[in-house]
Amino acid sequence: MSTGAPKAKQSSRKGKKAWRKNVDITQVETGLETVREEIVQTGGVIAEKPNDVLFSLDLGGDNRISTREKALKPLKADEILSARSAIPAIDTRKRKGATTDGVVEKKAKRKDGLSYSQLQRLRQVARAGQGKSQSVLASTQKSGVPDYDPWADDAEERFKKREEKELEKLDFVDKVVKPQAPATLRVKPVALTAIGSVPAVRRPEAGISYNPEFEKWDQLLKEEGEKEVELEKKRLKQQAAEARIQALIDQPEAEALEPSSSSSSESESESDSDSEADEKTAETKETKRKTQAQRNKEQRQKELQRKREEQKKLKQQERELMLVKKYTRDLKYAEKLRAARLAAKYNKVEDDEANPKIMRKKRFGKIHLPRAPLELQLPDELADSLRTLKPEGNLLDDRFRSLRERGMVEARKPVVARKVKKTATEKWSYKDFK
Amino acid sequence: MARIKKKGTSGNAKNFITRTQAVRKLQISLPDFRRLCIFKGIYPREPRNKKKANKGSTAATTFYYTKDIQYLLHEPVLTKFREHKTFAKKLQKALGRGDYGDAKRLEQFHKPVVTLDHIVKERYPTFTDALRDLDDALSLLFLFANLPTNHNLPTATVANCERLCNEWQHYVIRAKALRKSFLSIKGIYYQAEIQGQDILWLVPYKFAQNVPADVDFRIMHTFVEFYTTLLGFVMFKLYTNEGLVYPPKFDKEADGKGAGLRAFKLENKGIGMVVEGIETEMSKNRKEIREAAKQTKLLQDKISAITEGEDEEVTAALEKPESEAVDGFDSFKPIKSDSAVDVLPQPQISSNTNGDVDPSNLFAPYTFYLSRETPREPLEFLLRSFGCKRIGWDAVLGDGSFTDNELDPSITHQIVDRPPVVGLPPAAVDTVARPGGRVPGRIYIQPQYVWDCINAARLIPTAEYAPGALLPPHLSPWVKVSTGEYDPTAPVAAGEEEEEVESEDEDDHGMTEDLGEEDESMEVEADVSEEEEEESEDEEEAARRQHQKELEAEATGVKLAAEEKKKQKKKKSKAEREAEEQKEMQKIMMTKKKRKLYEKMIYSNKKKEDEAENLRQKRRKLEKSKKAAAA
Repeated sequence: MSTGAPKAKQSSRKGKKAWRKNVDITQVETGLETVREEIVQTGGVIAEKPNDVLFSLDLGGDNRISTREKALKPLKADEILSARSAIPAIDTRKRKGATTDGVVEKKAKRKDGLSYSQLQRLRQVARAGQGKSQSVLASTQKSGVPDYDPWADDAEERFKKREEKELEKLDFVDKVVKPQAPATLRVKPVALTAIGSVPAVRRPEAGISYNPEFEKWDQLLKEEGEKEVELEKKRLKQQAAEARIQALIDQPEAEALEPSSSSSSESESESDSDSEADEKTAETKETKRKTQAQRNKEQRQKELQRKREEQKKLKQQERELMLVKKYTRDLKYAEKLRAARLAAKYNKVEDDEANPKIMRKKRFGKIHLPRAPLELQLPDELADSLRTLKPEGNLLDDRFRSLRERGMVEARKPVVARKVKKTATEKWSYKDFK
Repeated sequence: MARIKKKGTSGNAKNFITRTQAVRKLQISLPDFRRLCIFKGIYPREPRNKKKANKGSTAATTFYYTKDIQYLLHEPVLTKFREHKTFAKKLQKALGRGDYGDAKRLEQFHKPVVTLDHIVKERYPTFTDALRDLDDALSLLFLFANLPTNHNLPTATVANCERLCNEWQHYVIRAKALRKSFLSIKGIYYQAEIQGQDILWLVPYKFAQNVPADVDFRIMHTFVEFYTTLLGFVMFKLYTNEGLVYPPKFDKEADGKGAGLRAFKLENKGIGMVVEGIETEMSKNRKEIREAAKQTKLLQDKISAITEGEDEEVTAALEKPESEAVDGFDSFKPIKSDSAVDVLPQPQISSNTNGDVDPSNLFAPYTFYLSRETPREPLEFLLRSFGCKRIGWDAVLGDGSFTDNELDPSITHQIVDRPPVVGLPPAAVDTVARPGGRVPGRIYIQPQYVWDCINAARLIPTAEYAPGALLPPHLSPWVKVSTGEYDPTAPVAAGEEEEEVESEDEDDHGMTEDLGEEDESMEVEADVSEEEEEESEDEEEAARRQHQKELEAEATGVKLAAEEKKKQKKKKSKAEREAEEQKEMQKIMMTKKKRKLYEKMIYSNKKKEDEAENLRQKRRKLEKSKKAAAA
């Protein structure tokens, strides 16, 4: 720190240094700059502010400090960008009649009379051709209400192109033969129910009334409950089977490990003895009697082999048992199906009793149609009036399912747009701003 | 020797084509192929032998008929798709160059536009075919009309669906085509009959829909696109057949205020006269209107008459319900109420007045008022379709009501769906309409009443539907009761009742247990769910009674009447015994399989009958107790 009087830099007034443009004003400039910064940051010159604005006596302390979590450190770039001046910016909005020359300016338009939103739309349309956005292509359909009856006798004329009509007028030209629709076009789609026919809108079961008859609702509840129980049983069984298989897989290894560990130590000792024996003679080796340890080892190996065979057999038996079960299941299913078909044949009603929701077993398309969602109200959900009714299920889902059930579209895995994991990094260029 | 056949030239190998092959053949993108298939009604198929159809591969693939795909090559829409591709390229180029003017011009004049009109005609050669496929179309459009818009679902699509749905509803009202309706937990089912075709559609409840993630929206959207075109044409045909102008006049302003159905005005064809401003049509008959359309000579007079005397008509209409009701119902009694100040004649409909009212004009003589907690759209639609001309509702429910004054004296029925307020002073009720208050001289009912009336095709007694009352179950109108099964809607048969009475008399002969029985019936009324317990109690009691009777008989030395009856039965059965024996014999003659089946059948039939009988008995008991309570 310099304590003495400031040393005059401009001692001489002679020469180029004294010229006005060479006068050093950095001091003044830095002073002005600091004042400006102070104004921007605090709203005024700090030196001019009264003491009570600048200082306060903190007696209590902030008890939140200890509990406050460590805040995420903001990015430098954000810090710079979010810094705002304490002085409000000058409003740059144009005001009506604020013109000085008395001429009101016209609203500026984009080139060629195309606004930004229009441009955006055009870009979207252009992109739609590449199969990116279907919604735009969808809107290419001519909107408007029909003004004729396509089933009238004279409607055929409307579908013809102008050229076709003109060609028809010429009698020396052969008539254009229209391609006939193949018979296959009229074949009904492959329905996914066991019976093979599904109405577009199924008639509702009595049990899904908002205020159902007790018996019907109870019946439905029981049916659905049984299905759930069956599923749960199946799941548990599968779990158990998996556990068993896992155990079977693990077991021989564990058994195999034991002897191997012991045998390895034995083999080590053996190898040691072997090496010793090698050194002596080769003939003694051939006539050497089996040691007790070797016999034991063989015994163990045999035992292990036997066990393995046994387990193999067990597995085979289990597999066969499963097959038997499968056949019985299939039989039951076939019987159910036959009954349903009979019912459908004789009742000729398209409601749910006659047209049950039994799906066919064979897969159609790449995946199985998922299980139908549960459409039933549990005892605590039953509404006592229309006002308090909480609708069950989703109709969009219902309709989409119906389309797949009827085989109009294939069942396939929903394509979910993959989420790209985002990583946040900071560019080093922020240093340019500091 | 026959010639050796080359592999892959016939059968499954030739008839089927995989999806990838099809897309390559048509030279379009997969999404475009999907759209085209949906438009044209080309569905995935299942070859009998996949291996043969797919060159030895058994991998899961989608197959189509080769002929279908071949036929697609001639499709104008396919050409449009290709044209769109080239157009998009040109547009891209212009935009890239910054030739915005060019781009604008291209988009305005050279953008290929897809029309599906010819496909509608092709897929549905006759109008009946189109009507048959309307179930799906209506369900989907009603659903989309109720979906929230987002970037996938433009507002225009939803508005279009809404318009079509409203037009459809107007037609159904006008043609009186609605037959049944059902409130389910999924949504509301409606069934209409048009030209002999039953059309069933499902409408979601308001504000209950969200878009699940696993629904392929593009597919649904394509279907909506096609069905909008289809429904447009169907509507045009239906409206013209009815002698109406299509499209009906749409009042955008009214629609903005939530007028719903009332935003549309139907017009007669060729005249330009507004026919159906629903109130103005009140005094007219539909046939008359049709005649008016034909007789153009009388037209001028009629127009002037209508324009001059519209007010008169309204007043006439207000008076009309009484006069019409006189023909419809046999008795009029003022409602028994302590605070009845001004009394409107209220029909007391007994449950057996059946054939008197035309089911399509069920609600014609009445004025309904919907409280603000009731769903307006379905109720308005239903009431209108069954002849009601004057429906008022709270201003909260939107514009276009007959009256939004709850105290309007012309209101005969008010639909309420909230629990009644307990302890409201009756004096306050008369002067101000406060929520939960009651205006004397009108019937208060819950919304379910309307549905049940429609499904029963007659007016049901309103007592069970009073606000706050425990509603009777809402039955599905499509469940058919097979013979012998219990039908909750049918009245207890007269013969059965008599029988019951007889047996009761028998019981009463020696007994003085009336009191106990009455108590029991009271219990039954109090809680239905406890019935099963009571049943067991019943049995116990019966056993006890029987025992006591026997004791008494022993004491007096008189044989019980029941025993005598039993003997008679025994005698009768002697005559029938032969038949039974014959049956036995036949049973023996059957194969084991058939016999088992027969026994099963007998068993299940008996079980069903028992169940039905049980239910009937319960019902009889309930009704008896009710009678006792009423007396």
